[in-house]
Amino acid sequence: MTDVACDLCPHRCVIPEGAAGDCRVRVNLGGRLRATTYGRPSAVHIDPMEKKPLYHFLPAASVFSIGTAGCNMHCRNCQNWQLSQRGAEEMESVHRAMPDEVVALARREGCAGIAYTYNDPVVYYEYVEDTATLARAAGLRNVLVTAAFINREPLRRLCRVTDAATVDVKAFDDHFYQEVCSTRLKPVLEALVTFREEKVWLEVSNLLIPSLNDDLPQIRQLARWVRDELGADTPFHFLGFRPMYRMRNLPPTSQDILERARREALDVGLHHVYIGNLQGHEGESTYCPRDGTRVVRRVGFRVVENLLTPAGECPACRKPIAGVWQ
Amino acid sequence: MTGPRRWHVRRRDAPFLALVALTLACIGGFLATGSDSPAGPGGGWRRIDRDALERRIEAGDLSGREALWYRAVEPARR
Ligand SMILES: [Zn+2]
Repeated sequence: MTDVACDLCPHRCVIPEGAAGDCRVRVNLGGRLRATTYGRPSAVHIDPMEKKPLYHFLPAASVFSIGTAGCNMHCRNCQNWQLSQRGAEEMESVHRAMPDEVVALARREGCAGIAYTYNDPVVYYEYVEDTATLARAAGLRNVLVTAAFINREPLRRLCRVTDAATVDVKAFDDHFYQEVCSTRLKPVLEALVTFREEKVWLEVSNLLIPSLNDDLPQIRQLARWVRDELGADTPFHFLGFRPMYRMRNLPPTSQDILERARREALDVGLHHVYIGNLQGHEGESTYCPRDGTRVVRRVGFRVVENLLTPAGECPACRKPIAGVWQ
Repeated sequence: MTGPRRWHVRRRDAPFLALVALTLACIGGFLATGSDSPAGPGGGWRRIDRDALERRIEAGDLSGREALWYRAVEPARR
């Protein structure tokens, strides 16, 4: 009987014959590691790009979004746990959609790109890579929605076919990563730097969970790290927590905390700091960091006004706003 | 008056103590052979319903596609 060592993510699972990695979907059958969800998504939707969240990447575009079973994160507050915390063989609903079929569907639906999302695309790496390669050739963009718990070499290779990534940093605290998500912080920070080095358009989100990761000093530290390592133009999204899965004992994030977090990150020097899921809030819109002109106005995931010039510049000062605008 | 109480195994307690020892040995053995939760870097893996998986792969409902980024290693002692 042959064990296999999986080098895809920092868990580096050593998997005996007939068992799965920590992600539940990469399985050792007969001494070969199998990607059991390749071409077998369990979630397929068309979403606005803003929902990913990506605010500086093809505003108001539709993106064809797929996800499979399994995940290498085990967040106690996962909103997609019925997908992410199950093995492929446990899913009642599995679609058959090989890479060429996904690309054809995305084009037929008039989508600007394909998002690999819902569970973490790291665990269906091969499916992502093959689909993204065909999508590129067909003129579609590829978006990763990920927690970025992946080793450097696999990530570098995937970056070659990735146009944008939105990375959910769970907390700027390794203890939180271990206790709440069963992972570690350091590899995530390294992956963020790799995305930046590989010139993938990058946005960062951070879900604030009351009493667990919402203290202002920690928020300030994370904002400083993003400013120093990724750049002040990196869009940063604070998201509000809602009680779910194994974390129903905590209250939702208050508007006050979200606003204070945003203020803190702006004070640290980040140029584009957003508040997600507070419909109608000023923190949903994009402002010129030089003169404060509101250049893109959003309500929820809807772009209701876009004043950017065709070149992606502020209409007042004519300086570029960082992003991939078309 | 009796003398100071001494702790010693009476013959009728022996089966009970043996049962306790056996239970502890079983729990220890379970912990040592790994559970269904990840054991950390280099050791994380999960038991799955292999028969169900292979049936669904055979039916084309799931994929048997070979993965990237892995290598064969000497079986760990377990
Ligand atoms: Zn301006």
